[in-house]
Amino acid sequence: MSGEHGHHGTPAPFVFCVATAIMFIGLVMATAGGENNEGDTGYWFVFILGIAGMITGFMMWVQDYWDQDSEEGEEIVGYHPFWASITTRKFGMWIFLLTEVMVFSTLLSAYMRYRAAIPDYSPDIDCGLYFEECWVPAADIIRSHLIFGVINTFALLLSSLTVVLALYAARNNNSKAATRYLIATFFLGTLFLVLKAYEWWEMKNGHFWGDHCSVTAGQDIGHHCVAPKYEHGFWLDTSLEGTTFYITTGTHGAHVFVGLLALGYLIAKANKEGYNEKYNDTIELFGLYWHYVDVVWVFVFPFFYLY
Amino acid sequence: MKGASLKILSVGFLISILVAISAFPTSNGFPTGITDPTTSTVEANGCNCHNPDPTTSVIVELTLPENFTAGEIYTLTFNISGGPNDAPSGENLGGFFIKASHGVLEPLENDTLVQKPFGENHLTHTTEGNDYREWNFTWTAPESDDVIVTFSAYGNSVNGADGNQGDYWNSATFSLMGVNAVAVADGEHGLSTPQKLIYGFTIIAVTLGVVIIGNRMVTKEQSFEEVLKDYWKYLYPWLTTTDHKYIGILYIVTGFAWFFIAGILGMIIRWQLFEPRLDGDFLTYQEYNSTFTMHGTTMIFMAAMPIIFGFANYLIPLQIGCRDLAFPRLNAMSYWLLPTGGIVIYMGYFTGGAGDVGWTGYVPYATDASATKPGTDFWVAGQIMLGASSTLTAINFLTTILRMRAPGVSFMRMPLFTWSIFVTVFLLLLAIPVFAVALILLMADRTFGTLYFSGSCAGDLMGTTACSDPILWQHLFWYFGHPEVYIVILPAFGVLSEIISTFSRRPIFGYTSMVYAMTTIGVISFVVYGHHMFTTGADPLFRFIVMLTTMLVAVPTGIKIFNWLATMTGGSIVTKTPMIFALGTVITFTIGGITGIILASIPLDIAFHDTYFVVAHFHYVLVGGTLFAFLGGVYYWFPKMTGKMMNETLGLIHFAFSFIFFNAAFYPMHNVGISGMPRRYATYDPALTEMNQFISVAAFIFGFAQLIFVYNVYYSYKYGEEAGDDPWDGWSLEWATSSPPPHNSFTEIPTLKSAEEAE
Amino acid sequence: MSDEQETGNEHDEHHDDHSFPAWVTLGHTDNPINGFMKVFAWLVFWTLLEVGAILSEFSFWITMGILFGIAAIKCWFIGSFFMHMTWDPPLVNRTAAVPVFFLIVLFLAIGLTQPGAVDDLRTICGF
Repeated sequence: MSGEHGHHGTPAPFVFCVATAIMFIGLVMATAGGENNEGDTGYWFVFILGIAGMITGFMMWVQDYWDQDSEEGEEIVGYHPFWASITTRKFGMWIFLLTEVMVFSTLLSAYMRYRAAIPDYSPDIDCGLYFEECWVPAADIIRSHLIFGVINTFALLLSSLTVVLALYAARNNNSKAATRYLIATFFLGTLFLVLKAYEWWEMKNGHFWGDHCSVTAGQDIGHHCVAPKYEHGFWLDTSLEGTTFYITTGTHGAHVFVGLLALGYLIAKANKEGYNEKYNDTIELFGLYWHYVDVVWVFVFPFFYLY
Repeated sequence: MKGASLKILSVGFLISILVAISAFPTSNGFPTGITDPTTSTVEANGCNCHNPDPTTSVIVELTLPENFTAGEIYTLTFNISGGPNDAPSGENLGGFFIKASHGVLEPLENDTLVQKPFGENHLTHTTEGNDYREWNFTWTAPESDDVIVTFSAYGNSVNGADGNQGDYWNSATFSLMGVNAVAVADGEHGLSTPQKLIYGFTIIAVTLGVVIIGNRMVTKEQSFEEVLKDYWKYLYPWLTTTDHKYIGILYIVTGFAWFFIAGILGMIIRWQLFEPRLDGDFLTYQEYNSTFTMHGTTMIFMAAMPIIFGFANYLIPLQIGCRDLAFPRLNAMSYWLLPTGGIVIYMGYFTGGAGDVGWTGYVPYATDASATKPGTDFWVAGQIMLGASSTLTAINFLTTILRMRAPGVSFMRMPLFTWSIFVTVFLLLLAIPVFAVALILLMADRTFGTLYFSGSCAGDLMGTTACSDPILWQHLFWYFGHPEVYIVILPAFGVLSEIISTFSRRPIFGYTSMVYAMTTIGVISFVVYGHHMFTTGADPLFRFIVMLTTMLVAVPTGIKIFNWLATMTGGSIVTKTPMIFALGTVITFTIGGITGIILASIPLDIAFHDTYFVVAHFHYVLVGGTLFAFLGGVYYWFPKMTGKMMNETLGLIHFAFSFIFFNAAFYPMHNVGISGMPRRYATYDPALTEMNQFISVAAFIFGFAQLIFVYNVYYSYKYGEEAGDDPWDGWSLEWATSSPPPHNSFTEIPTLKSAEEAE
Repeated sequence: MSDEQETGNEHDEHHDDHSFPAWVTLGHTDNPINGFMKVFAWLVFWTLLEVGAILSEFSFWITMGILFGIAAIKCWFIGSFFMHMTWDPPLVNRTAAVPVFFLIVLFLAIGLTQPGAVDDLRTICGF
């Protein structure tokens, strides 16, 4: 069954989807199955099997691109100049980014809804004995260790720069430099995730702060102590502040992680001199995704880490 | 003469008014006991003529034996005490009403205090019995002693005076187990009917597979491996295709397969509602919740949308003159996420119960321990996969339609079906991600204990602010949910435009206004979602804006309907099956649209929300709109896809049965809804039994009528007459290629001429 | 007859010198690489301002304004230069602008409506 553009039939989509289903079945049974519906840990094997299948499907998918080194004959002719002014894939990537805009906007609206409804902590209002009736933002807890968040911000900004530099290196037929810049991007992305994991670990276990606050003693949360409701740690099931913080920053982190997986493929291909002045669109497309992830962080950082 | 007759007339008028006033039912107490027509009111609302609410300090007691033996007669005593009227003696002291779910209640012989009104099967007090607060009567046990009998009783503690002021009542239910009855634990009911059906189908499918393979092994003398290789050679191209035509057919076939499964679930619903039932009579109430949940989710996400995507996949490249979609492999992935995601959703049936939270998944049901587990988790996970499928489809189609149109195919010359899909995928692009996030948050709440929707309020009982907000789920769901229903109806509009113009032998009337109407509907659909939330105590300004915009969206819809009518008026109509379905669709969709306007009004919605009126409305627009339009679409495009014509006679019979029995089934739902029958309840007020039986019978016939369609498809595929390139004389580009189209759809990219330029 | 019109090879654009606005590069740039590095420097600068603003503890509305404003500015930098929007055809800008209306609806309807809001039209309309 031949088609245009060299897209002959391929089993990759079928394999990937079956694997996704297996992954979800494993995940659901592992967390909610079993006799008491509290989780049947034997199913983690099924989950891992599913992940392996998804990786296999992904590799089957990119097989076509592995040896490709030019766009000749690939690009679809467009007959309407305005709409054909960029390549099909670039247009498709921008449209995909619109869906991602909706994803993060949903998370931010939910956060905004709760934050607008619940008054922030202030010494002037009655927050209850455990500060449970006020919003004590994650920012207050992070404040004393803000340096990690700032390093993360710089890491992500720098990684955006390195991706652009990799693209220009590829366009100048400089495979070595392109590979190095992509590896730098990978390193910066990994640094981001590692520091984030460290931050999360510290917050979850309550290591980030010193004294405990007492409403009666009039202590000031932001600078000196932590609210009693976070006595046992700050995690996603502790309070609404925790839930919104971890899920939003976690979703962002998941997007960084997926980007790193794609980056792995790009590095491997750049390393074997797969990108040159004629074929470098893939780096540009990845770059668009990566910059978008950076833009999301530009909004998440001030409204979760600073305020 | 005039003066005299005038006098007589006015006196007569006054007298009749007086008679009418005195005949007007006043709310009084019933010292004579509860008889027809008051019975159903008391059963539904208690003694609310006396007091709108029960008073908890009034104690009603029924003395019962420990358990019962079949056929035995027991003497029971019912008594009222406590409450503000706990006076020792006098007249006008008490009233009662008691009913038993099994067995027979009778007054004692020669007892003047208790009566069983003629034609009823409950007991109540007599005028003399009104002076007491304790009554005795007999109860004869039923023939089966393994049931659990429920007694529903109301007792009214009267204050000694006439009338119904100052009386306090309460109600109670009492259970009595037979000697051989076994208390049914929660969730244990053996396999529910849907589960039995699914296990049954699986066993049948496996058996069929074994039989078919075995048959081939014997008749062709092949080994097992050779048989599988043969089948694999046939199957493999289908599993790996990236061609939009084959993917389109996969979508349509899969969509209709899930449609029939969801249809069977619908028949199970109507059997459950054939008469009022107790918990566990046919389905347990929880199983019923699963049934309507899966019916709704399957119909919308696994039947309607795939059928839409199927036609879109097949036709859009043909209609805009390109060879395939922009991203063919992504297209294949979009398709395969559908059956795999569907299986994940249905895994609930194999693990103790499918998701039972309604297709809308409202919290706190969805996050509570009462939701089936892991069935609800499977329901969430599968829908995430389906959401991904739709998003990828949207990206693909938007890129294709915007970028890959052939020369001459400007926007205002695209066929209306293409326009409808264009607006549809635009809505999908922006709405599905919101739903996907909501599902992920729900999953996080269920699995990781996050508090987006499920946290209880901390702090004191006076209501604090730091609570999770269940309404957040409703906002997120309906922000997606409302564009979603336009997503399923806009393509139907597109199909209607195609069919009506072809079979009226003229281009659609008012093409430009049709385009603007669809785009307006698409944009406004994001602003109206609050009309699903009128009863949630949402911000009144929000509700007000929503009411106005919801009514506003009727305007472009109405423009479209009038344009179709104008097209027909100005053309010469060819009555073939697709056109008949299109005409039927216009009628039923218009009815559904009108009830939509009724529901848009906040005061009316407050009365009708969550009643069968809503069920009637959306079935009229979804079945009467989407399904009928796409059935017409199948009849219309089947010749293009297969090269064979479908049988006209069978088509007309299919239409006649479908149209008549659809209306017979769903129109009365308006009435039962106005009478107050709630939706998503597994039983209902016995007074509505006859209506519901009528609905159920009609629904069964409607369901079976679809088998005519299945047979027609199969028969025509095998034996239908040759269709040729353009059997209907259409002029959009898909009719310019052969039936079925060649592998790469066009031998050379065509240039579009307008309908007037074409032959 | 179809009138085939090949898309211009838009890779060609990249080979001309990108012109960065003069205030971004604070002077001349001989190659795009330097231009991008200067953009990065601007991003670092604005981030430091952001952190400084928080540490200075202004009032609520001023803080909100600063944070949101700086976020918008950084977003503009990344989008215009790293994501190439300055030099891309208008299709890209307009595509990116599409969600704006729907985002406004999302934020207003979900972010700013609340349970327990004022419950009667009379109060809202100020009677």
